[in-house]
Amino acid sequence: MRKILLFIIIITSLCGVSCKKYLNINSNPDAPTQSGVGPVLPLTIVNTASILSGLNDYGGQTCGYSANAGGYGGFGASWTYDYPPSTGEGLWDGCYTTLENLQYLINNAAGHDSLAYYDATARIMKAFIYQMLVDEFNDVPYSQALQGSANFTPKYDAATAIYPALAASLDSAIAEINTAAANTVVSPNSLTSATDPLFGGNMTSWKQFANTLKLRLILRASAAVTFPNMTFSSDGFITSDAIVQPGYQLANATSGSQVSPSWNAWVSNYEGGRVGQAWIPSTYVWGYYDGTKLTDPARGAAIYFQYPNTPYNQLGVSPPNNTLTSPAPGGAWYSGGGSGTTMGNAIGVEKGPNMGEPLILLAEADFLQAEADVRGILGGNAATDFNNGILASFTYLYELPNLTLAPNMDPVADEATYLANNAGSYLVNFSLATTTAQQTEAIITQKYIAMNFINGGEAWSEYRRTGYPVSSGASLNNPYGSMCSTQSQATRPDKLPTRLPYPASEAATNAGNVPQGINIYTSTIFWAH
Amino acid sequence: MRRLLALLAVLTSISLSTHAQTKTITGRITDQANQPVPFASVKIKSAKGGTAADADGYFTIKVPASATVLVVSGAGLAEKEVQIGTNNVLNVQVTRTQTELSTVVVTTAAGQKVNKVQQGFNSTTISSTAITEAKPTVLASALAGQAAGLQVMATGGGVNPTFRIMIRGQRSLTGNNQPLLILDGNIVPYDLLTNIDPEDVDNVNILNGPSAVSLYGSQASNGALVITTKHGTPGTQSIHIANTTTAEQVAFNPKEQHSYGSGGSGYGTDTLGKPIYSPLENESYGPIFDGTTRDLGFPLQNGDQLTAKYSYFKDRNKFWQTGITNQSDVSFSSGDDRSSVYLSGQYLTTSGTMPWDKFNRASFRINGTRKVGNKVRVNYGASYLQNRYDVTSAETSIYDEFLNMPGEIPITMFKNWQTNEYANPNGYYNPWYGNPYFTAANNRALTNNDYLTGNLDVHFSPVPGLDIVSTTGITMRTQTYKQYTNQFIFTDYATAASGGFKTTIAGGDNESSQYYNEVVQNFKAIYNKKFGDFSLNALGGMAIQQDAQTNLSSGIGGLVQQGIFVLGNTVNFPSASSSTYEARQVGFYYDVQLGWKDFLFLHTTGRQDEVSVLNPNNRTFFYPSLDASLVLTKWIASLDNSKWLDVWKLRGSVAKVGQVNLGPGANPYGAYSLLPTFGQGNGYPYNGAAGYAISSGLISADLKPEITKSWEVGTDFTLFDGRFDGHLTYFDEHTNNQTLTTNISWATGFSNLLTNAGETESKGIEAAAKLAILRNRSWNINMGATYTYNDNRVISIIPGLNNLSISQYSDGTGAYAIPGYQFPEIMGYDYLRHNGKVEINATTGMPIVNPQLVYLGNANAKNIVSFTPTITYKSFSLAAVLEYRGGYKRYNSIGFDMDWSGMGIRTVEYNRQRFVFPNSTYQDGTGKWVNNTTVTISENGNGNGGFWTDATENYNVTSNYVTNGAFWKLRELSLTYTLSPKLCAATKVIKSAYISAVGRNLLIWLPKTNLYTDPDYSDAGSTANGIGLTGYQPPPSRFFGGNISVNF
Repeated sequence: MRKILLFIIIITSLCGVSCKKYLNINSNPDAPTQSGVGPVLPLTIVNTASILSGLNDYGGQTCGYSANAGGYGGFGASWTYDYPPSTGEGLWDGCYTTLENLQYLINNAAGHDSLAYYDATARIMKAFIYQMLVDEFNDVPYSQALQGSANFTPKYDAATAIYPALAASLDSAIAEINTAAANTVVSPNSLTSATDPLFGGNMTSWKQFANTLKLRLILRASAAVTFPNMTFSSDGFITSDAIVQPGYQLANATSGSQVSPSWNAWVSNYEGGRVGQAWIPSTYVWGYYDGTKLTDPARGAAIYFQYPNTPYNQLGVSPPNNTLTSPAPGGAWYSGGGSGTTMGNAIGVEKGPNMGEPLILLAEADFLQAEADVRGILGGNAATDFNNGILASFTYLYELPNLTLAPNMDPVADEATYLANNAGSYLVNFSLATTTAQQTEAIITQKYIAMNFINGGEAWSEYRRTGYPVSSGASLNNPYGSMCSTQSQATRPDKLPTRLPYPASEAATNAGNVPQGINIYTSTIFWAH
Repeated sequence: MRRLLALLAVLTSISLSTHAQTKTITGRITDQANQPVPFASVKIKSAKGGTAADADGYFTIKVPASATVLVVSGAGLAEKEVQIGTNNVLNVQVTRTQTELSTVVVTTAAGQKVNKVQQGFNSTTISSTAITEAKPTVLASALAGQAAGLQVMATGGGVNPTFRIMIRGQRSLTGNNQPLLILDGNIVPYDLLTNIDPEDVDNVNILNGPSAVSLYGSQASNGALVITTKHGTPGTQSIHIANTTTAEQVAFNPKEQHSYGSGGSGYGTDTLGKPIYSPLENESYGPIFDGTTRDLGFPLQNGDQLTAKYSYFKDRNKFWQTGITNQSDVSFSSGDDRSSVYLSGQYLTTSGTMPWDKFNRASFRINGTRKVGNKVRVNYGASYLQNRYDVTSAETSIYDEFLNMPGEIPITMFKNWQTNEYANPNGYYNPWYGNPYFTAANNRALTNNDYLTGNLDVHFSPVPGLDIVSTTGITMRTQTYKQYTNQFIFTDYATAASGGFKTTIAGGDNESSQYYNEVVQNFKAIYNKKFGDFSLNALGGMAIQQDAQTNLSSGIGGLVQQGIFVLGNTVNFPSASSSTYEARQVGFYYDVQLGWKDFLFLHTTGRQDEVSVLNPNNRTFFYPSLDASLVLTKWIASLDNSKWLDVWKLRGSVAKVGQVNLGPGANPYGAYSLLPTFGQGNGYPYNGAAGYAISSGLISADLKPEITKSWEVGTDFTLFDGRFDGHLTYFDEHTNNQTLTTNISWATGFSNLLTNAGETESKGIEAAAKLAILRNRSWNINMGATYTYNDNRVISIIPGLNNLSISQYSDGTGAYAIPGYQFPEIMGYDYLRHNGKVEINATTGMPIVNPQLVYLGNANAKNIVSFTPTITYKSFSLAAVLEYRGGYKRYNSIGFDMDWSGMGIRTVEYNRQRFVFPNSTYQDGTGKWVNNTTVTISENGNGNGGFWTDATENYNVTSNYVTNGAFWKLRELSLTYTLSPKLCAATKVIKSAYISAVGRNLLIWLPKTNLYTDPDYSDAGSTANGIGLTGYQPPPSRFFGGNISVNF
C-alpha cells in the first residue's frame, strides 16, 4: 500500500518535469513545415501550365475552337453561356493558390542577393498569372491579396491599376536579373533544369519572356490605360516557344498524373483511358482549313485526326449533332496512330503524353510584334513579323514532343504553299491588308489560327479586345460564319459572353469587397472591344 | 501455491486478531437473479459495527466470536438475516423489493458503481435484454429510441452500416460530436461501437451531459456511453447457445416514374411533336410506353440484336438483392466466491442488398475476476474480433447507373455479365453508363479489421474503505484494405459502335494498411467511509493516454494482366505514401461525493489535462463539475409515507469540459496540426527534382480547446410501487472557443483558416417514462416512452463571416453554421421569389434562379419521440421500438440525378408537356406583380427533357430536392416464446430456452414530399457534423428473421 502510494506520489511529482518531455512529441514527422525556395519555384511554373491548359478548354469552347460531339447531354452553360458562379472557380482558386506560392518565393527571396533570380522569376510568373485573372474577371484583389492572415478580406483593385503595375513589375524583374548578374560580391544562385522547367535557368530567356508578356499587356490595354514605360529592354522578345517541360511522361506519381495536362484533358490519361470525348472541332474554325474561309490542309492534317474526315460541328443543337461522335482512339485533336498507352510521338496540337505545355508560343510573340509595328509601339516590319508568326506556327505544329521537327516535315515549304494558296486573302497575304483594321484583323486571325486548341484563353481575350476573327451573332444556319452557340442566351450582338462571373466563394468570404451587379454579358473587361 | 498464499493471508489476519476473539467473514451479496448487489449494508445483529459491500457485492466484516447473525439491508432490498456458521465465507442472497430508481446501480465514467439516486445528472441504463431483443448485429443500432437525448443515425446502408450517435445534439461545429466510448472502465476508440458483439454487453449506461463525464476532461464534452460487458456470476455455471438468421430487403425506393422510356426530344420529335425513342439513351425522356417490341442497343458484332418490350419492367427493383445474415453465439459463464469467468464467441456472416457484397465477423471474449487473498481483487478482460468486408467500391456509380437505366430495361437480365453477351460490357446497350452489375463485380474493396482489446484492473484494499486501483486498457487495431478495378479491354467493334465511348478500363489496385494503438493507464485511490450521517466517496487519480497510428498506402493504375491485383502488376509506377501520428495526454483528477442521511448528495469532480497536440503555452486546462441530488422522499417523512410516491428526487449540476479540436482536416488525434506543411504536387517529383507547394490552410497560432459550460436540472421519480417511473431534465450547454476551419477568400493566398471563434448553444428537454400498464399472472404490459427536444443553435461564428460551411458540395450547396440558426442549416440555390412565389421570365415562362446561396431549412431534428412497448402473455412476449423524428429538413442529392435521368416522378408531373411553372409570378409592363397562370415554359424546346435536364433552371436548383426530414420508424419488433420452466426441467439439461421472430426497421413512414431516401443517411459520412445531406447510399433496408437461444 505504501509502495503504491509512494509510486503515485513519485509519478505525480515527477510529472512536473517529465510531463513536458513526455508531451513534447508534436513535431511533424510526416511533412516538412519549412522549405527553401528551390523546390517551390518549379511547381508554381508547372501549376501555371496546368491552369493555362484549363483556360484553353474554356476559352476554346467559347471562341469556336471546339463544339459538342453527338450523343451527349449536359452541355448546359457551355451552350447557353449562362455561366453559374462555379464556371470560373477553378481558374480563380488555382491562380491564387499558385500566386501564394510565388508570394512565398518573393517573401523569402527578396532582399537576398543570392536568391535574386528566384525573386525575379517569381515576379514574372506572378504577372503572367495576374493577367490571366484580370482578363477573365476584370477587377481582382491585388494590392491587398496574398497576405494570409494579415488580411482576410482583401479589397479589389481596379483592373486599370493592376495592368500598369504588372508592366512595372516586369521591368523591375528584368532590372533585378541584370543587377544580380553584375553583382561581383554575391553571385546569385542559378536556376537549373530542376528548378526551372520553363527555361532551364537561361536568364536571358526569362527577360525575353518578361518583355513579351509586357508587350502583350501593353497591346491589350494601352488604348484604355496609360503605361508609363512603353519601351522594352534590349533583351528583346522570346526567340523560341516558351514551353513548360518538367519531364511529363505517361505515368502517375503519388502527387498526381505526370501526363502533360492538355493531353491528360483531351486525349488520354496515364492509364491510356480515353478522355474528353464530348468535344470535336467547331465548323467555324474548320473553315480556316477546309477552304471555306482559308485553305490550309497542311496544318489541318497536322492537327486533326484523319483530316479532312474529322467530324466537326457547330456548338449547340444542330441537326447532325447526334450522329457526330468524337473519333476513336484519341479524339479529334490527335493526329497520330496507336491507341491507349501506345499513342504519342505525334505532331500537331496533341503530340503525346510527354509533350511540353506552351505558355507563350513564338508565333504569338511574332504576331504581338507585328501588331506593335502596326500601332507604332515597336519600329519593326509588320509584314516580316506577320510571316514569321505563320512560319513559327507551322514549325511548332510540325514538332514532335521532344521539340524536334518530325521527319519529312518542312515548315518553310508548307508556309510558302499556304501563302500561295491564299494569296488572294488579306488574312494571309499581308500586303493586301491596307487599313489598320485589316492589318489588325489579319494579325489577330492568324494568331487565332496559330493558337488553335493550344491557347484558347488568349484567343478568346484577343477576340474580346479586337472583335477578330470576325464572328456573326446570327448563328442559325451560319456555322462557318459564327463561333457562337445556337443555344446562346447572351444578350450581346455577337451573342457571346464577355467575362466570367466572380466565384461564389468570394460572395461567401469577401462579400464586402467583391463587385456587385456583375453581368457576364455587359460587364466588360476594361480593355474589351 | 496461490491458494496457499491466500490461506496464509487469511491465517495471518486471524492470528492478528485472535486476541480480540474475532473472526473475519467474507462473502458476496447477490439478488434473486444472481446479480451482485452493491453497497448493501452488512451489520452484526444487536451489536455495533458493520460494513458495506463494495460495488461488486463483496464484503468483508470482522465479527466477535459471540456474534451469531448478520443483517443485510439496503435501499430497495428486503432486509435479510443470516446465521453465522462456522464457515468464514458467507454468500447472501437478498430480494429486491423495488424496481428502478432507488436500486438502480450505474457505472460512472470513473468506473465506480453508484446508486442512481445519488446522481445529480441525467443518465439512462439500457439492459442487455433491451439491447438484444431484436438481435441487432451492431450495438449502435440497438440504442436507437432507447434513451431520451440520444440520437442514433445509420448514415449509410451496406453490410455493416456506419452510425452516428449524438447526445443532446451537436455542440462542436467542426469537431467531434460523438460521445466518449468507455468499455469496462477504459476509453476505447469509437469504431468499437459498431464492432463489439452486442451479446457480450451486460448494459450500456448513457451519460447525457458533460457533468457526468467531466472527469474525462478534454474528451468528455459529448457525454459518454459506458459499456459494461458480461461477467460470470458466483455460484452459477451456464452455457448459452443461440442462432439468429435475418433477411434484409430494400424497404424504400426513390419514387420513379413508370410511363416513359429511353430517348428524348434531344433526338428530335416525330410529326406529332412526341420525342423520339433511342435504343442507346440513358435518359428516360422518350415516348410513352406502348408495349411494342423495340431494339435495345447496337447490334452485336455477330449481328444479334437485343430487343425489349417497351413497357415498364416490373422487376426493376429486384436489382437490389435479398441479403441474409446468420449469426451464431455461444457463451459460457461460471463463478464462485473468489473468481468468475465469462467466455463468449460469435460468428456472423452477411450478404447485402448490393449484388455480391459480403461481410463476416468473428469475435471472442474472455472476462474474469479473481480475488487474491482478502485485499487484492483482479478484473481482467480481453477480446479479439475481426471483420472482413468484400464489397463494391463503386456504390455511387452503381446507383447512378441504376437511376440512368430507363424503365423498360430488363435490368435483371444483365446480372450474368460473364456469360450473357448483352450483359457483357462489349454488348451492353448503353455506351455512357455501364452495366451496374458489371460495375459492382469489377470494382471491389476488401477490408480486414482485427481488433484486440484488453483490460486489467487491480484493486488493492489495504484497509476497509480504501481502494487503490490500477486500470490498464489497451486497444489495438490493424486494418488492411485493398480496392481494385479489373482491367477490361473492349473489342474494336464495341469501341467503334459506341463512338469511342467504350474504352479500355485500365484497371488498378490500391492497398493500404493502418495500425493503431491506444493505451490508457489510470491510477486511482478511492476512499469510502461513513461518518455518522455523512458518507464520503472520494477518488483521486491520474491518467495517461497514448494514441499512435501508422498508415501506409500504395496504388497502381493500369494493370498488365487482368485479374491480378498486386502492386507489381502495372505499366506505371506505383504511388506510395505513409504517415505516422502520435498523441499523448496526462490528466490528474478528483471525484468527491458527500452524502448526508441518504438523501442529500453533493458531488464534485475536477480534472487537469495536459495534451501534446497543442502549443506548450496553452495545452494545460482544468475542468471542474459540481452536482447535487436531493431525495425528497427520504428527506420529508410525509412524502416517504406516501402510498403512491415511492421515490422522488431533485437534481442539478453544473460542469465545464473541453474538447481539443484541431479541425476537420486533422488526423484522428490532431497531432502536428499547428503548422502549415509543404507537399509535392501536380506530378512531382519529375526526373529526380522535387516540387513543393505550401498547404492551403492557415492555422491560428494559439489554438485552445473548445470549452463547453453546461448546467442541467431535473427530477426522477417512481410512483405506485414502481409501476410508473420517469425522469425529466432541462439542460443548457454553451460551447465557445469553437475551433473553426472556415473558408477564406482565395485571394488571401489560402483557402481556409483554423481558428478559435464562435459559440453554440444546445438546450432542451429530455423526458422518459415507463408505465406498467398491466401486471398479473398471465399479462405483463409495459410502455416506455421518451421525448427529446433539442434546440441546437449557433450563437456566433468568426466575426465578419455570415456563415460557415460544414459539409458542402462543389456548387456550394451544403450544411452550414449560421449565427442565430439551428445547426446545421441547409444552404443551397433557390429561385428568385416575390412574396414566396417563384419569379419567372414573362416571355419564356422560365423560372429565374437566385445566384446567391439561400437558407433552405434546419437539419437538426428538434423533436424526437420514442415508444418501447413490451407485452408479455404467459410464455409469449412482444417488444417494439418505435421512433419519430421531426422538425427538420433534408437535401437529397440524388434528386438531381432522378431529373437528369428522367426516372424521377417529378419529371412526369406535367406529363412531359410544357407547363406553367407552379406558384409563379412576374412583373407586367407596369411593374405590377401578376400571378402566372398562362405563360408556359418555352426554353429548351419543351416540358420534356429540355426543362428537367436543364442545369441552371432545374437540377442545379437545390430547393427542388429539399424535403421535410420527418419520419416514423418501427425500428424493432420482436416476438419471443420462452420455453416453460417445466419443460426445461424435464430435459434435465436445458435451463431455459426461447425462440423469437425479430424485425428491424420494418416500416418507415415518410412525408409525401420525401421522394428519395431515409433522412438518417448522411452524405457527409458518420463522423462529419454536416448532417442534412443524403446521397447515393443504397436504398434503406428492412430486416426480419428468427432466433433460437438455449441456456444449459
